[in-house]
Amino acid sequence: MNTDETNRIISLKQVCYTYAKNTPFSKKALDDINLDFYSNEYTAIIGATGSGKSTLIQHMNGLLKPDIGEVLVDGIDTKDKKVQSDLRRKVGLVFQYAQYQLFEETVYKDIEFGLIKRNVPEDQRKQRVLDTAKMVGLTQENLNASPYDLSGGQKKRAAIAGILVLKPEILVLDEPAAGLDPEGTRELFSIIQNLHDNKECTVILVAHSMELVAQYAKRIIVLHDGKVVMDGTRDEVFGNVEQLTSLGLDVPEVTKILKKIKISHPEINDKLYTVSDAKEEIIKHLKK
Amino acid sequence: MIEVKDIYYAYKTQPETTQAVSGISLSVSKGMYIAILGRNGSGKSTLARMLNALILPDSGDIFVLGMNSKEKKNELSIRKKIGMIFQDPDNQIVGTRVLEDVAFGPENLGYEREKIIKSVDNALNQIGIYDLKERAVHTLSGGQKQRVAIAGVLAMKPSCIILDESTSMLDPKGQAELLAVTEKLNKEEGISIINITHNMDEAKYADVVYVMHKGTITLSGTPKEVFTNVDEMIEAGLDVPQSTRLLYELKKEGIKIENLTIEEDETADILGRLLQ
Repeated sequence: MNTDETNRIISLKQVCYTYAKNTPFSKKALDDINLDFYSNEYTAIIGATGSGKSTLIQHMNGLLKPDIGEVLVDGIDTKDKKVQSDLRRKVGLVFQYAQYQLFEETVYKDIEFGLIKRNVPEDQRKQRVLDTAKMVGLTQENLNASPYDLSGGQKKRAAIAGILVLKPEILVLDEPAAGLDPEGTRELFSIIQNLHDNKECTVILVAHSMELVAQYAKRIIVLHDGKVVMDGTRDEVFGNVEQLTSLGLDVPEVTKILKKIKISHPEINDKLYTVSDAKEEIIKHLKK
Repeated sequence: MIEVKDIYYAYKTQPETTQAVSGISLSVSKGMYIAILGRNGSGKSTLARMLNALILPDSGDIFVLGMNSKEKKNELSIRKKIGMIFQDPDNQIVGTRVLEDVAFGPENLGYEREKIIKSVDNALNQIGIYDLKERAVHTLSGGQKQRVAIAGVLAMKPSCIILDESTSMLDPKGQAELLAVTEKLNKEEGISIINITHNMDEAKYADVVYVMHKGTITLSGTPKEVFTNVDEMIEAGLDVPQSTRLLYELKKEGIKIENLTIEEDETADILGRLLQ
């Protein structure tokens, strides 16, 4: 990964955030967060319930502003009132239950909505909506339907299409697999992977499934009680099973299997996190 | 306790009708823990709604404790016996405080005050949320709200509780809390549980798993019997444990593996022996 300063796209400096300040319910959600994100990274943010993941990503497009510290997106301070629409254009944020945000009469109109708000000329709008719909796997029939007539998985695609049609440089997703079945999840993650591979956007996502994180993310950030406690490559983070377990997190099941085999077969590499890598490792040793 | 005999159901919306359930038969005995797995749109929620007489089959019959759901006079007794927990915790809470919400069912059954108080307290204790009794519902987490919903159902003394994707909007902690409660009610109170889900981890602990695909049941059996049919599971848009997947992939490569398993330890043992 190119971690040149010129390649830095989001920078959080000493960010603190407290909910319900000055009330008996006040809760410190983020505590001195320092993070840099670079162009074309694929980052997963993981952490137990209440660790601050959702609060953190809502800082990335200025939806929440830090109490202390600053968040810079492409060098722009998110506290600057004049740049809010610029910020929302650069950073596309997909909420956990994005499917509940659909509101238009048809799916087509829902996806088009943001383009109208941004004064994109009518002749360009149609092509962009159709291209985006195709990318996320929505059919012409889906586009003509009311959002309420779509299945859960289709609604999620429609909601994501509404963000992607605006061509954000940075795509931020809060638990994209929530409410999706396994097949829907596989399809969605392969759409995200394509966007990333084609260098269309930088991806930052919050995820609960360690198996998905291990399969897709290049960089993993672990939050605990509003602090960054781990930040590294997949191998660096999942290599540290003890620390992850102590934080209430898990490692992929195949990794646990390899660890158990390693006890009696020390030659086995247990720093593998996907079924296909584990398969290759076992075959390699069986052939010896 | 529940007998489902060759039921069919179609949603008749203009211009077309959608066949949601096509020829399902199954039976649930007292005290069983059942999981029904299937993708979004496989017909599993339609089946759930038929089980407590919210909708009636177009053909075929459902008997709950011998009562046919098609007979109007049985409707209330069936709903009393079969409690239902839905997906969205915010859509099924009616009270502003936990206490009021849980009391809603018994109040509507016309119980006396003393009996209402007692059944609410019992339900809250059984679920282990007595300490939340006075709390305003909107201050609770999703997992807590779903447990309040279960307490509300429990106060009606059901024989069976259906969870219709009840964990799909919860985070892993909330999921674990809810599942622990259902297992406890199943083991200690003998209440039958039907968990409708697409999360395979929840199905691993069931006595019997049914897989639904396009309105029919395509697989059924113990979790092990079901999950080791890897091709059929993927075909149904579902997943299998990584343990099973790993053994299956190795077997496909021509490696001599006799039986697939769904357990992590067993998988490590099988592979350890191969490597000797």
